[in-house]
Amino acid sequence: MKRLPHSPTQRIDTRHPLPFSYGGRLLEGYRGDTVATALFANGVRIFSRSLKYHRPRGLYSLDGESSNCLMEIDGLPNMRAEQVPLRGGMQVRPQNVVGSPERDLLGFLDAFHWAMPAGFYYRVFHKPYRLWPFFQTLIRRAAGAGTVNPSWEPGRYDELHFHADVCVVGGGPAGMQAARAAAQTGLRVVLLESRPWLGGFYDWRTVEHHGTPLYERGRHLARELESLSNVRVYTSCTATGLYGDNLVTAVQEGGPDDFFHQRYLEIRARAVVAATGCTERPLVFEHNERPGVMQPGCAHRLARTYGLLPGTAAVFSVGHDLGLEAAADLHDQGLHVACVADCRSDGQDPQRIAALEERNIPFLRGWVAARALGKKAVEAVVLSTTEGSATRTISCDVLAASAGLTPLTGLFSLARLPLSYDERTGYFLPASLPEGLYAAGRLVGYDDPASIELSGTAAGLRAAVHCGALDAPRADEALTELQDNHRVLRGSKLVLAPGAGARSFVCFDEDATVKHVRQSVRMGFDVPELAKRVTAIGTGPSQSGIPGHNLPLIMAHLRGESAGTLRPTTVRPPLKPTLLATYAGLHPDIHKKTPLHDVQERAGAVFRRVGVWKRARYFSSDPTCRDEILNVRNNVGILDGSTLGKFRIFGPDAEKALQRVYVGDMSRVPAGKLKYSAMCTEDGCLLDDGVATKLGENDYYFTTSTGRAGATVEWFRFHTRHEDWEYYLVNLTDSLASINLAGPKARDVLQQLTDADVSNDAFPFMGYREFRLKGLVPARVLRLGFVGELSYEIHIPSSMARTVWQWLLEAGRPLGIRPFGLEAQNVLRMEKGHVIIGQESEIRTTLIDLGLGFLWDRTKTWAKTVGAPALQFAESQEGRLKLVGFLVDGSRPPLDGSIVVDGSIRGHVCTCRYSPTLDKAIGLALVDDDLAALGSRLRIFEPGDPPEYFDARVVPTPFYDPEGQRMKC
Amino acid sequence: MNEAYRHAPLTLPGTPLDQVVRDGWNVTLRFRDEGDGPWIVDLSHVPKWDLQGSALDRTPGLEGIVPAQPGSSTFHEGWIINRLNPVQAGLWRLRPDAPPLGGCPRTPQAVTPAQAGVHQLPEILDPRFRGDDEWALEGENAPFSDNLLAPKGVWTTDLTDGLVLLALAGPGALDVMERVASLDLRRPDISCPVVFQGPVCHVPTQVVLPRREDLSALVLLAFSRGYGPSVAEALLHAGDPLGLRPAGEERFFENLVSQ
Repeated sequence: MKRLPHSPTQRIDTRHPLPFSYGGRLLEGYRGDTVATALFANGVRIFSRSLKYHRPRGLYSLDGESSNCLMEIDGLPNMRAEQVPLRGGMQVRPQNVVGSPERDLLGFLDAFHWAMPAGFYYRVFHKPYRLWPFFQTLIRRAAGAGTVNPSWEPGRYDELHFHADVCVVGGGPAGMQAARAAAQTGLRVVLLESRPWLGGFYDWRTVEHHGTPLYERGRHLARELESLSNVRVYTSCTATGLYGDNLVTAVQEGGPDDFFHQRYLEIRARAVVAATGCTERPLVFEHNERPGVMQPGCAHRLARTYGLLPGTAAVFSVGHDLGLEAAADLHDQGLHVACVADCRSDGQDPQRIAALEERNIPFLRGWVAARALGKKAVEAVVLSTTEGSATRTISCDVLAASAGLTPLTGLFSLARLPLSYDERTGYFLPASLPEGLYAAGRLVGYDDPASIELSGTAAGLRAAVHCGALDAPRADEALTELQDNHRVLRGSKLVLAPGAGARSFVCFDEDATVKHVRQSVRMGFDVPELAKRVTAIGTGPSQSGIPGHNLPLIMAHLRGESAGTLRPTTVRPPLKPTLLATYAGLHPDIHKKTPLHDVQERAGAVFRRVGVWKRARYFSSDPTCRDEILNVRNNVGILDGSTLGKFRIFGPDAEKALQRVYVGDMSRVPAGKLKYSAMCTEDGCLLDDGVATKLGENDYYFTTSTGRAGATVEWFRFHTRHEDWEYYLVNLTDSLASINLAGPKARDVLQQLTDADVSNDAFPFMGYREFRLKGLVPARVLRLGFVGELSYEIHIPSSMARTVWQWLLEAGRPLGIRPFGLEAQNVLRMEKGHVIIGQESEIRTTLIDLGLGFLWDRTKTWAKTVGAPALQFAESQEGRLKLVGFLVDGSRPPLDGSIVVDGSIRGHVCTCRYSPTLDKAIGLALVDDDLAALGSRLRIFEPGDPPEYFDARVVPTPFYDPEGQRMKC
Repeated sequence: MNEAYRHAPLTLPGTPLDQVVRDGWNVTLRFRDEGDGPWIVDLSHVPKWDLQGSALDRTPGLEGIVPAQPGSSTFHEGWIINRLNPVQAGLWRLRPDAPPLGGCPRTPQAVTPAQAGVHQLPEILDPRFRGDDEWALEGENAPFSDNLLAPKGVWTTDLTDGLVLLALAGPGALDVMERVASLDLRRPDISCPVVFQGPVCHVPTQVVLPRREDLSALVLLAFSRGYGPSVAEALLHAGDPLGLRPAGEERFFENLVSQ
C-alpha cells in the first residue's frame, strides 16, 4: 500500500525501511511504524479472531483499547500490535486462529452464538453433569488468547525508582502545561506519556490555533519542556498504578535504541496531575467490530501520523467535533467521504460543519450507524436516525464510528475515587479529588486548545502550591480565569444505535453483546459490577478499554433508568497489560554467603537456600551423609556455622533486657562460662534458643538461631519499648564467622592452633574462652555439644575465617578431619535428641511441650519475662502435643512431616532419619500426650503414590550417649 | 603483617593491575580497563566502627565531630562519621593515612575495664592502632573483648568485618542507584555529605552521599557482609547498560579528592 506524501505531522521515517515477517511472508514497514500500522500498510485487514465466536477483527483504535490486535510478536503472545514499535527482523504471527485470520476453521462458531448466552459456562453444558468435563475440555481448548512459548527467552528488563515533587500523567497539551507550570516554580517534575512522543491530540491535527497548526504548537511545547533540567520526560510510558501517598507505577516500552525491552518505574511524588485525556466511546450497533469499522481518531491518525489512508470510501458516524474535523481532513488527504452522520441533534461547531459543506460532504444531523454490512470486512453501512424512524444504506469500506468522547479515568479508579455522572459532558468523573491529586485537560471536559492548556497550567500551579513552592493566590488566579472564561463541552448522550442486539458488541475482548447485557439484567444482575461477572464484560486483556463507561450507560438504558444511575466497574492495576518479566525487573538473586562459602564450594559442598543464606547441605553425593556423620563420631569434623546469630548487648540496663526476653535467670550468666537459654513468644511458644556469656561489666555476648538473627534486635526493642532502659545491641552475625569443630579428636586439632590450655579441666564443657589462634587471629571459643561430641564453636573475624578454616584442616589432616554439612549435623543432633526450632517446634509448641521447661526460671516474676504467664498456664494444661523420640520397625525412615494416625491425626513426624551410628531408623515426633508414654506404639502414615504406613515405638531420648559423657569429656 | 590473610567479602570481576597488602587485606589500587565511569569500588577493608551511647555528640574528644542530627554525616581528616540515630553513629576511616580522631595517644595501649572510665577516645580509633593484627604485636593473649572497650559514655564495636563497603563513583552513579533503591538521593534540600538508611537491592543499607554532582557523584554503600557477592553482582548488572565497571581504590580517592 502506498503511503501518503510526506507531511510534517508524520512520525514515520521512510528513509529507514524495516523488514519483518508475518505468517511466513516477508513484509516491510518504516521506522516509526507500529507493528499494526506496518501490517495495515501491507494490506492486512484481519488481525485476529475473537475469543468465543472467532469473528474477524481488525484495526479499531491505535491505543490498545481492545484485543483486536493482540498478536504473537517475537514469540510473545498477546502483544498489542498497535502499540509495539516495529523493529527490523520482527516475527509476527496472528493468534487465536485455526488456519489463517482470513480463513479460520472455527469461524463457524459465530453461527452458534445463540448457544452461548450470558454466563453460559455457569449454566449450559452442566446437565447432565457428567457431560461437563467433556465440554469443559472443549471450551478450554477453544478459549484463551495466544499460546505461551516455554522456550521464549526474556530480553533485558529495567527498573527505575525515583522521587519527584510533581508527577504528571499524560503528555498532551494539558499535561505539558502542567509540567511546565510546576517546573517553573523550581520543583522536580516527571512527565509520563504513553505514546512515543509528547503532544497528545495536537500531534496529528493541522487545524490552527492563534495562527499556529496544533501539531506545531504541540512540538513547540514538547521542546520547551524537554529543555528544562528539572523535568524528566518518559515517553512510551504508561502509568499502570496509583497508590497511597502518590506512589505512581508505570511501564515504559523500550524503543529500537533502548537497551531494555520494558522498564518498570516507581515514582514517589508529592503531587500527581492526571491529564490522561479522552478516548472515543465506542458506538454500539450491529456488527460494530467488523474489520473496516474503526474510531475516527484511528482513521485520522493512520493518515496523519503514519501516512496511510484507512480505505477508499468512508462513512463517518460520530458524536463529537473531532470526528467532523477528521472527515474533512481525510477528504483533503484523498479519502472519499461518502457521508458524515452525527448522533447529536445540535451543538456542533459551525466552522466544522461549514468545512464539510465546502467539500460537498453530506452531513446528517441526528443520524447514526445502525448496522455494518459485509462478511469479513465492511462493504456498506445502514445509517438510521437516532430514533430509528428512517434508514439509509451507503457503500463504503471504512466506517469511522464513535458515540462521543469518554475520559480515561483509570487513575481515579486506582485512587479509589467514586465516579459520578456529569450531565453536561456525559462523563463519569470523581465529584472531588483529594489533596495532592489534580486533573486537567480533556479529561475533565475541556475541548478547545486555550481551555485545555489553561487547565493544565492551573493544575500544575495547584500542585506547586501543594508542594509548598508557590503561594496559593497565584494558582487561584489561573483557576479563576479558567472557571470564569471557559466551559466544558456538552457531550453526546447517545447510548445505543437503533436495533442494537445480538451482534452489537459491548466488549470485544469477551465477545459480549447488548443481548448478553440484556440477559444479565433480566437475570437480576442489576449493577455493572455484577453484570461484569456473569457476562465477562471488561474482564479481558484490555480491562474495560472498550466497554468502559458504556456498560453502566447501557445497563441503565435497558433498565429504563436515566444515565448516571449506575457507575462504571472498578479498574485495577496494572492499567496496561504488563509482562511478568517486567515486574521481575532486574530480579537479582539476593542472598547471603558465609565467609567460608568459596572454600566449601571448592571442597564439593552442595548448597541449599536456608532463609536468606546459602548453606552447605552435603559434601558428597550420598544424601544420607553416612561418612560425614561417622567421621564426626569417630574422628573430627568441621562445620561452617557462620549463619548463627551473634550479638553484643551492653549498657547499664543490658541485664534487664536479657531478663525480659530470655526465660532463664540471666543474672547468673558467669564470665568464662556459657548459659543456655531460650526465648518464647507471648504465647509461651519456643521462639529461639542460644547461649550467652558475660564479657565484662554490663557487657554480654549471646547467640541466636540462624532464622531469628535478623529479628533479634527488633524483638528486644519491642519488648522493652515501654521501659526507660539504657542498653545497646550490636548484631555481630556477619562480623564473626563460626566454625564448629566436633568429634573426639577436636581438642587435639584445636590445641595445635593455640598455646592456651584447652584441656577439659582448664576449658570444660559450657566454657567460654578468648585466645588467639597461631597468636594472630582473635577467637571467641565456646565449648558446646550440639552434635553430642566434644565440640568447639570458634568465632573469629569473618575476614580471617578462610585462613582459620585452612589452618584447622591442615592441623586435623592426620586426625582424619573432614567438613560436614547441615544434613549430617541434622542427624547428629537428632541422635542426641537436640531440637531445632522450626523443625521440632511449630507455632503452637511451648517450651514445656518440648521438654525444655527446665530452662524457665519461675522465680523472676519481676522481670516480666515474655511468655512467662502463658507458660504458667500451659504447664498444667492437658491435651498438649509432646515431643517424643521413636524407633521405627524397619530400616527405612518415613519422610519428615508424615502423620501419626490412630483413627484420627494424633501428631506428626518432625525429623526421622536412618542413624548410621545406631544402625536404626530413629526420629522425633510431636504427638498427643496420651501417646507420649515410653513404649507407646505409633502408626505413621506417609503420603505418596502409593502411600505407606510405618510402625514405630516411643523410646527414651537421647538416642545416643544419654549420659552426655562424650561431649563433656 | 605483609601477608594477606584477611579475605574480602567479595571479588569484583576484572583484572587487578596494582595491589597492596594492608592490615592483612589484599587491596586493589587499580583495575585494567576501568573505563570512563561510573565505577564500583570495593572498600570493605576500610576500618569501620559502631558507636552507641546516649550523648555521642558530647563525647569528649568527639565534640563537634559526631554530627548532632541523625541522617547527617561529616568528613573529618580522612574519616567519615555518620549519625544514624539519636544513640548511634558509624565511623569509617576512609583514608589509610587518616590521623587519629580527637588527638588520642600515639602509642596504642590495651585498655582494661578499669581504665575504660577515663575520658579519652578508644585506642582502636587511632589509625596507628591497626586493628586486630596489631594486637598480636602488642601482647600475647590480649583479650579480644578489650577491643570493644571504650571510655565512659561511649561504646564502640569494630564492624570492619561485618560490613561490606562499596563505592559507586563518577558519572551515572546516581542513575545506577535509581535501579536498585528507592531512596531520594537527588532531594534538593539536603546538603552533602548525608547518610540514608534504607534498602538497596532489598538489603538494609547505610547509603552515604558525599557528593552528587552529575559527573562526579559519589555514593558509599555499607551493608551486611554476607550480602556482598550477590549485591555486588546486582549492582554490576543494573549498572551494565550505563557502563559501570570495577575500579580500584585510587579511583575512589580521585573522586573523593575532587570534592
